[in-house]
Amino acid sequence: MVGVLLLPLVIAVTVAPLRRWRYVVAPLATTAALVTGISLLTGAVEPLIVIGRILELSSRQQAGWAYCSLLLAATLLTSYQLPQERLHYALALLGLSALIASTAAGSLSLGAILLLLGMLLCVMTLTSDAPGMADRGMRVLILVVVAGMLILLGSWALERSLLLPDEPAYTGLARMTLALGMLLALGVAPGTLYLGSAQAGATPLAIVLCNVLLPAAVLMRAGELVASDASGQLLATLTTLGVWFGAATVVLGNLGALVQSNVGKILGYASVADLGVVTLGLALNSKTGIALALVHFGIRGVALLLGSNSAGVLRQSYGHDDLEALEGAFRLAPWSVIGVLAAGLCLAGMPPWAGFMTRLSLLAELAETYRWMVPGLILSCAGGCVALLRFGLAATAPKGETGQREPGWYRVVGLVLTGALLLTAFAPYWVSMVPPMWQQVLFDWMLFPGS
Amino acid sequence: MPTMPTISLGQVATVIVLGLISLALMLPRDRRVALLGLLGCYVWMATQMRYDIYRPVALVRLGLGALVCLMLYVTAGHVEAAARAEGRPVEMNLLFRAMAAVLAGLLAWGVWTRFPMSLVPESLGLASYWLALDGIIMMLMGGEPLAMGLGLMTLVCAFEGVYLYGEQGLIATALIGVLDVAIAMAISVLAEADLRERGRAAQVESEGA
Repeated sequence: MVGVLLLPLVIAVTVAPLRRWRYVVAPLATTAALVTGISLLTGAVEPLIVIGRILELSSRQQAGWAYCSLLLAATLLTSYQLPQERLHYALALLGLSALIASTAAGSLSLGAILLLLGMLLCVMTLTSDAPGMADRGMRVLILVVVAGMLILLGSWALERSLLLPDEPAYTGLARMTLALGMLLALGVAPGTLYLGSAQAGATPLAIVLCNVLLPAAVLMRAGELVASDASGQLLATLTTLGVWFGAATVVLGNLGALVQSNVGKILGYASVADLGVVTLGLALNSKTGIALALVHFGIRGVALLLGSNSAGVLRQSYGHDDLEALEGAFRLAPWSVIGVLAAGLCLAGMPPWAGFMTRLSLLAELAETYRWMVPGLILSCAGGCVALLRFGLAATAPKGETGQREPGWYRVVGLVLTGALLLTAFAPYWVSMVPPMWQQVLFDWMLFPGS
Repeated sequence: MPTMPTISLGQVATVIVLGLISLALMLPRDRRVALLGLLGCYVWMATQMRYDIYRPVALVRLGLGALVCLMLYVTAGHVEAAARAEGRPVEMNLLFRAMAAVLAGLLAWGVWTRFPMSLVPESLGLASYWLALDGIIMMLMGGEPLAMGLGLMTLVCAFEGVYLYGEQGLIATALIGVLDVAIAMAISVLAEADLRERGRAAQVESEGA
């Protein structure tokens, strides 16, 4: 535990003053995230006691943070040639450390404070050269701080309700504030509007931090809080609100994507809509629903990595990522265009991309309880698809060469990540070839380690 | 026959102090002056803290508030200098902002009398409602990151006042202090980024002309 928490922290402090030397900072930060991920993945992490407070990760939480750390390492590595404020490397590592600590904290209040701290560090990376970025970042900061305060208040009230079970006021306060805070922090509707637009012009690092690591920490914290609530009222409130807010997020996110004329915003809204699907899956509160939601969340991370990098390369090559500016972009930046389309279609849940199978299975699971909701959700996915179609048509339009050719390194990144999203889509068929006994072992190891 | 609610002398004093803080936060056009209001919030909240054993904690909180205000003061200096150089117009006039401050006070009083916080003293409950409403109004009226950030810090200060009355653990208090600094830092980072954006836009405009 000491190494897992201290390594990113120490490297962050080391790279902060060295930020002028990108070629030193980027590999150092990548190595720190990679080593953290590998150490979380390979061995049992010993609990740590700091001033009488225990910090401990369960094996499932360890697997979750290993994935997040490795994804962060991949983001740091693949995006280091894109324009980025150097301080973001240090902020990313500090954020990783704070978020892991928030999951590991045994005390509910301390966990909530560390979660808010980690969320703040993630939001601080929402600055770039894009116009209006600071304003949008500020709105996300307000959203995150309000959500964090609600979670903090709810955690305190939950602790009190455990100490004083005869006081119903604490239980009620904990239930409502925690449910609202968690959903707000996840960026569900109406926060979707802020979170979606904030991704226009954001760097790949900021997108992965705010869209993958931050929600992962919130979900893991929610799991801890639900486990602490003996009355089960928090779980009931979260599942009820999760279904409604999740569905609203899917619809609002897709409608938001439909009206955008900027690649960053299209992907931003599509990704938030996709987070609505994850919320829906978790809110179903069944073993299958949760497993599918977690797999979908993992695939979504890879899609975001590909999409944010591709949009960043297009912005670098054409100076802007408005559809108008990207007319004929396929000629000079084919892998970036393919990357945006692959990531976008994966986030929109279109076949044959990886997000399709998990989304379809989740909707089938949802149909067992909320049958009437499913056609509307499927129909709303058309919003993101139409927006991507517009991008595809603009990018392949016959037009003179106005931008710069995409860099050579990106062709490799685009090919690998697009291939990964495509091949993962067929993973169920590969798994079906494995003997049933081993399928069960594989499934349990991946999704329910230690359970 | 309905009777008039009685108002104690202590409540009058609380209202006067909070009213002054509220006006200091919302009236000034210059963000550096508005920071005096934020400092006032921290001073008021420090006087309301209940630390039976560790009394110096209130002083530490006060020092932290001063540090936060100092950090934001540096950024506010940059923002004001840029605004003067650009000749940026003031978004809301003085009367409008005064009306908003009065409205926040009346609304806070109404909410406080209807939903009093039973776990904290009266003065702290009223202060939290009032300052939280001030913060929300400032965030809604603020047209740029620093103005919104000042509103956010006011809201956070109001929340922490109540939270730290209930939660008196030293680690939690210390981490809340770190949070304050982190929020102030985030506001400064975003406000400075906004300044750079405006500078680039002005440069592009002048090159175009």
